Amino acid sequence: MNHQEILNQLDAEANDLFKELTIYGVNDNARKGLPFIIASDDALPEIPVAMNFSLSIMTVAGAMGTAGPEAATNIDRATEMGIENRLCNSVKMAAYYLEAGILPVPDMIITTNSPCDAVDMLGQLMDKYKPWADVPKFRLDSPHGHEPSDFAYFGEQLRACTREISRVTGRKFEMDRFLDVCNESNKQARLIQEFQELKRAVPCPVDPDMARKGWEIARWIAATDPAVFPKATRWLERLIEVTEDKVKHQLGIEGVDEKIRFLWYDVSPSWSSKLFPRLQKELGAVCMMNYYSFANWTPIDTSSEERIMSSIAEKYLMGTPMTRQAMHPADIYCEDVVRICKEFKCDAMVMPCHIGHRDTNAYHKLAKDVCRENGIPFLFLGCDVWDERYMTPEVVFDRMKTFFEVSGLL
Amino acid sequence: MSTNNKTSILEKFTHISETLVNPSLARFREDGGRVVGYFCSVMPEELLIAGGLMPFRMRGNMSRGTDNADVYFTSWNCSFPRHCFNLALLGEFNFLDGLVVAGTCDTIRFVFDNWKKSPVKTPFIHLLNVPHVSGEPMVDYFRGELAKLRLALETSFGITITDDKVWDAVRLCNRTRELQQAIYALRKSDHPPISGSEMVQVMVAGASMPKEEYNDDLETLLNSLKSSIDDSRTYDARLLVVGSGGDDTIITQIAEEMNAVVVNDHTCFGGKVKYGTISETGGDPLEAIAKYQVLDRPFCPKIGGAYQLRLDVILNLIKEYRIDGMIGQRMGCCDSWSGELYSLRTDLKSEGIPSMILERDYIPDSIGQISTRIQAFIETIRR
Repeated sequence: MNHQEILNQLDAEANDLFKELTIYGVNDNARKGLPFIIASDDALPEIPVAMNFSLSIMTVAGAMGTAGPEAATNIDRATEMGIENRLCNSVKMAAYYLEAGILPVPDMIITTNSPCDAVDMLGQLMDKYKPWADVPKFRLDSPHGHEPSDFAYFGEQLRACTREISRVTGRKFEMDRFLDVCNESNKQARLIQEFQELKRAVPCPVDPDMARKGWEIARWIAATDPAVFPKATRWLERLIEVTEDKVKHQLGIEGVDEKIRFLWYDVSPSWSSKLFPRLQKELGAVCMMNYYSFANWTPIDTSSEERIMSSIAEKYLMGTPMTRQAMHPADIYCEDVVRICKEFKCDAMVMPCHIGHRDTNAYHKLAKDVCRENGIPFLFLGCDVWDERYMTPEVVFDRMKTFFEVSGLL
Repeated sequence: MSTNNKTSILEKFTHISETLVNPSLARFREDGGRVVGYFCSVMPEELLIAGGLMPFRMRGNMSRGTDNADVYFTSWNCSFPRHCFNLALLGEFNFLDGLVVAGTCDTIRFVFDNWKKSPVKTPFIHLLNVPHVSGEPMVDYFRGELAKLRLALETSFGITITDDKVWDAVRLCNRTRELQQAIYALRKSDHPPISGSEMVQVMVAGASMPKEEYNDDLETLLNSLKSSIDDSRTYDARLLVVGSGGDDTIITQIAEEMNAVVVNDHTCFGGKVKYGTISETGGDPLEAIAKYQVLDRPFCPKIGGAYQLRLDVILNLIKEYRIDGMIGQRMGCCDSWSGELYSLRTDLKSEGIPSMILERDYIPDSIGQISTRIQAFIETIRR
């Protein structure tokens, strides 16, 4: 197989796995025979993999529901529920799935306040949902601080959470098994970092968004289906192999004459397939990074049992996309922007400012100022990453094209 | 005499609640006192008072726009912090010697980041991390955050905040709560001696002036209210207002002009603030404060694991105050109150209690639509 055939195959495998994250996948997961837990938001895969249970994520299922031919109908149905209509549509969709009674009854619910007010609200709806009244619940308090004491605080809660999972599911938490899983997780983290290094090459060797896909397989799919966890490692290794070869031969993305490299520092939209390929083909503009392809993976310190939980807490709080950017001071977002633009040779920064992200809407000026100080052209959009009707991909394309032109990049 | 007392104190409180630098605050500053602003009610005033500082609850109810703040925030952010921040940019909060931002919701939290980097020069600014789950481990965490705040205040203001001083402040603020509770309790009567709108002004004033003076005024007001019941007035409906904000009289005034009476509220500036008291026993005042905020009073809808407590409190108010219906109000783009009121409405419906939800801007462009909806609601529940 040539490079592109390998990449296409990896892409197809990823897309096939992503079906597990949809509402249909959530229902299938409940029938797998494993203890079945539903979380309000992103979760560490190491715990479900080590304890061998299936964990589905509500906001991810909601986000998946905003893609595809039924997206607009789904969003409108969710809006009719009567909660805040400017709520992030992935959360609104998840709330709709809940209230519409189309979710299976889980063995346990884990909710948290991260990464944002909307997901916190969703978690509280899950807590109060009457058909799940008898389902055991555990609520995690994700702190906004990022000092060692914050990581220790959250680590203690994770420890308590594993005890509760054991009690509910009968699955034992064995430290040796957990260490093995953490070591494998660290290996995946190194592979992702290796891919990030290779991505820096000019021209960029493969679509940078492959990092997001690898990350989502290793994190979300593995949490849903623990058997996928080792396969994620292999998927990443195959991605590295093909990318290394392309870098060696100085090959760029197939069919793309790279002229501009930009940062899209927010979630990749559910309508991204209508935007990014067109930017690549028509303008030679390559999106080098988004929240999920950044996937700032903090390695887990496996040196002692004491360290492991606070380290995994740090990984969750500082390495989880959205949690990293929405839970912590704006300085972290701004520093990320400057660092990514520098390290990945980005010519410009696009701040999508998703309408449901109260955080980015509250610090867009700070991001703009830091870009200006560092000579990085900056574009503010204000789109809905889950609903293309709010600002269509065509309008976004036109705005970006004009922006690149006036910035002297085209 | 008591009617005169009532009138004069309510006039004083009205003036205080509608301005920022009121005469009491100005006097405090002229005497060398320093004023520290704070967002939101989970930030314990006790710590500031113990340091000889005057707490001032941040609000923008006299704001006329958000033009300057719109450079920092977008219209997808709640309008309450936008109006407050706009006033700051206009120099209206220059009287503050410090600001403590409690990290309650996403937009409020980023007021801290913007304030720090804006042209507003406030000598001291601190972000107080707060837990978002009600539980024992969270008490310890919050106690630790309060200790950090105490240290930051001591260092920045050159003061010493001893445990004894904190206990004194706890007793002072508990007295405030007891007096406020006593005034609220008078509204159980068929003929409440104080309207819902007046009560808003009483509560807002309490977070805008020196506490000792406020307590003295409250005592006088309480005594005069006890003897000023007007039993000739009857009302079409007894209402409860629940939701964010609560530092203006827009809802209460509209409802009360339609011959309803707001007999209680569960709002961020109102009834939620005066709930219970902090335990005055034990060795560690910070732990007592943390327990109160995290376990006894987890009333912010951002705090998980406490909805049932919040619902029980509201159902109890409805029973005790013989309430005919609830008006829920929330600011546009407030995700937390959106979910809370959605759940509350569902639960009240199952109890047969009518309710309506109003989404509004902090400073609404138009009162007409709000007025029409409230009128329609009152007509459906009229006694």
